[in-house]
Amino acid sequence: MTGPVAVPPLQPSHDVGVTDQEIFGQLYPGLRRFAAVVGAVEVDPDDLVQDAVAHALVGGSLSRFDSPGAYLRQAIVNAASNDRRRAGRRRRALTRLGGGLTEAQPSVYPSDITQLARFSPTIRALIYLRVIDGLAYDEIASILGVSSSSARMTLSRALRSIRSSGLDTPSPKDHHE
Amino acid sequence: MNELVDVLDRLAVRGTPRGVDSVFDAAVRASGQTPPTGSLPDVAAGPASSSIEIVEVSERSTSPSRRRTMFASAAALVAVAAALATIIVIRSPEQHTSQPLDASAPGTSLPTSPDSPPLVGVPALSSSIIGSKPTASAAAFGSVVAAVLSARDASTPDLRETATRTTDQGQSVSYAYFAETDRRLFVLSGGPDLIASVPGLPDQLDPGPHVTTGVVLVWPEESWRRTVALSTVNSVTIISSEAVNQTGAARSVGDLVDLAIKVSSPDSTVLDAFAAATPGAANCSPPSPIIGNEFRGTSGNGQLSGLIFATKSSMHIGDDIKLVVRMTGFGPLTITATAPDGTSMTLPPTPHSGSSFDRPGDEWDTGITYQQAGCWQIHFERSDRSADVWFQVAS
Repeated sequence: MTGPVAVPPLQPSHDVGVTDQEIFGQLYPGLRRFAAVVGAVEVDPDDLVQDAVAHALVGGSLSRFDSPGAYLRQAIVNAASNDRRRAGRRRRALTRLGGGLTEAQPSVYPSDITQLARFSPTIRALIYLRVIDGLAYDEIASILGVSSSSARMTLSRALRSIRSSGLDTPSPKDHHE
Repeated sequence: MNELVDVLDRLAVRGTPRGVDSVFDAAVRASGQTPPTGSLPDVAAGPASSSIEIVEVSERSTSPSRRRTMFASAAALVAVAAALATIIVIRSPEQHTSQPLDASAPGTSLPTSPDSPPLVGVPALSSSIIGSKPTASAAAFGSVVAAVLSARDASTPDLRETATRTTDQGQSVSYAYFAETDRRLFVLSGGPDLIASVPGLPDQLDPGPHVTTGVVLVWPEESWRRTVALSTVNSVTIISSEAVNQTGAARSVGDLVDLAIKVSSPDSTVLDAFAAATPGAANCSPPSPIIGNEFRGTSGNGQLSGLIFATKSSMHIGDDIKLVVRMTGFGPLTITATAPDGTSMTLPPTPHSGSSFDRPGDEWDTGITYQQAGCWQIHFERSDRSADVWFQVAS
C-alpha cells in the first residue's frame, strides 16, 4: 500500500428526494473505514457506524444535514470515545472479578497498529482525516469540533510521537490545505 | 513507503463489512423510526401458555459460519435471594413462574426450520435440561433477572422465561430469555466448570482470532448473533444476543461483556437485589430482607446495612448470632432488641475502626441470643438517625 485510498466525499451531492438509505449507501464505505480506524480493535466498525446512523435518524432524516458525512463521522468519534471509557471501567471490573486476571487482547493485528491504538479516538480520527482523506485543517476542525490550530498542533504531536516509535510518517504538510 | 499510511489502510479494512442494507436496517430499527420487519414469525409474542418452556435455539442457515455459531442462552447465578422470586412474578405474572418444568412438555418455544442443521452444543444442553429434574432454587435466579432488567438498555427487555435446572452432568443451570422489539437475549449461568462439563459446548470455542482468553470468552462473531461467556471464581455466565430476523444487529460484544459483569458481580447483584426488595416492617410483615448473610434495616432518615454471622442458614430459637452493622448519622449507637412477647433488652455495640464491609455509615458489632420463636425487632438509634430490623426466628 503506497498512498491514500480514494474515499467518497464527505459531503456527497444528493438530489432532492434521495432516500436516507441512498445517502447512507454513498457514505458507507468511507464511514466504515473511518470507524475501523477510530474504534478500538475489538469493536466492530459496523457497530459504530450503525450507532452513529441510529443516533442521526432519531432526530429525523439524514437529508436534513448539510453534511451528513461530517455529522456521522463526529457521531462515530463520540461513540468510539464512549466505548473507550466503558472499556476502561470493564477492565477494572474484570480485574476485580477475576482476582487479578484481565481480559486478554486478541493478537490479531501487528504491533504497528497497537501503536495507533494508544491514541484516543479523536486523535486517531484526526490522523485518518488528514493523512488518508487529506482534508484541510478547517474541515477536520469542523468535523471534530475543535479549532483549526488545535487540530494542527495535535496532529503534529501525534505524528512526532509515532515517528519516535520508529514508524515512518508523512509530514503534515504533505497534504493540501 | 509510508508506513503510517500502510498501517492506517490495513486498519481501515479490518473485519468483514455487514453491508449497507444490514447496517442501515439495523440503525433504522435502533432509532425507533419504523417497526421491525422480518420473514420469521414473531417470536417476541412469546409462548402462548403461561408455563415455563425450554428455549432451544436452532440454526436457520446452512452457511458454515452460522453453523459454527454459538448458542444463546442466558444467565446466571447464584446464591442470593429467595425474596426476589417476587420480582419475577411482579414483572410479568402471566409469563413467569417458578413452577417446576414438566419434563414431558414440548421443548421449543422458538420457531425452527426443519431443513436447518441443529446448532451444535445447544441441543445437548437443552436436552440435558429438559431431561433433568428442576432444582428448588429457581427463585434465586431473580437477582439475575433484576440485574438484566435494570441494565442500561434504552428499551427494557421483556422477561419471557426463566428457570433453574440440574443437567445430566449434575450442573445447576439457570437461564432466562428476554425479548425486545427486534432482538432477544439469552442468559445462562452455572458453576465454574459449566462449559467443560456440557458436551458440545467446548467445540464452540473456536481458537480463531475472535476468541479471547482469560475471564472472557467470545464466541465466533456473526453480525446478527454474538455470544460471550464470563468466567469468575464462582460461576460461568453465558450471554447471547441475536436479531430476531437475522438481518439486524445483535448488541456489541462490549455491551454483552458489560451485562455479564453486571449479573456476575456479587456486590452489584446484592445491591440491585436490595434495591428491589421490600423493606421490613412491624410484626415481620414482611421481615427485613436478607440476601446471603447481608440484611437491610428500615429507616425514614438514614441507612442501616448489616451482616449476620451464624452457623445456620436461618435463625432458630437458641441461636447465638453475631451482627455487624453499618449505620449512617453521627453519635453513639444504642441497640434495643424486642422479643415476640414484648420484652426488651439492650445489646452492647462494639465499634469497629474499619472493615471490608463496604456500606455507608459507621460500623459496630453486637450479639444476640434468640430465646423465643417469632418476630424479633431490633431498634438502632444514633443521635440523629434511627432504624429497625425485623427477623423471623423459627422454633
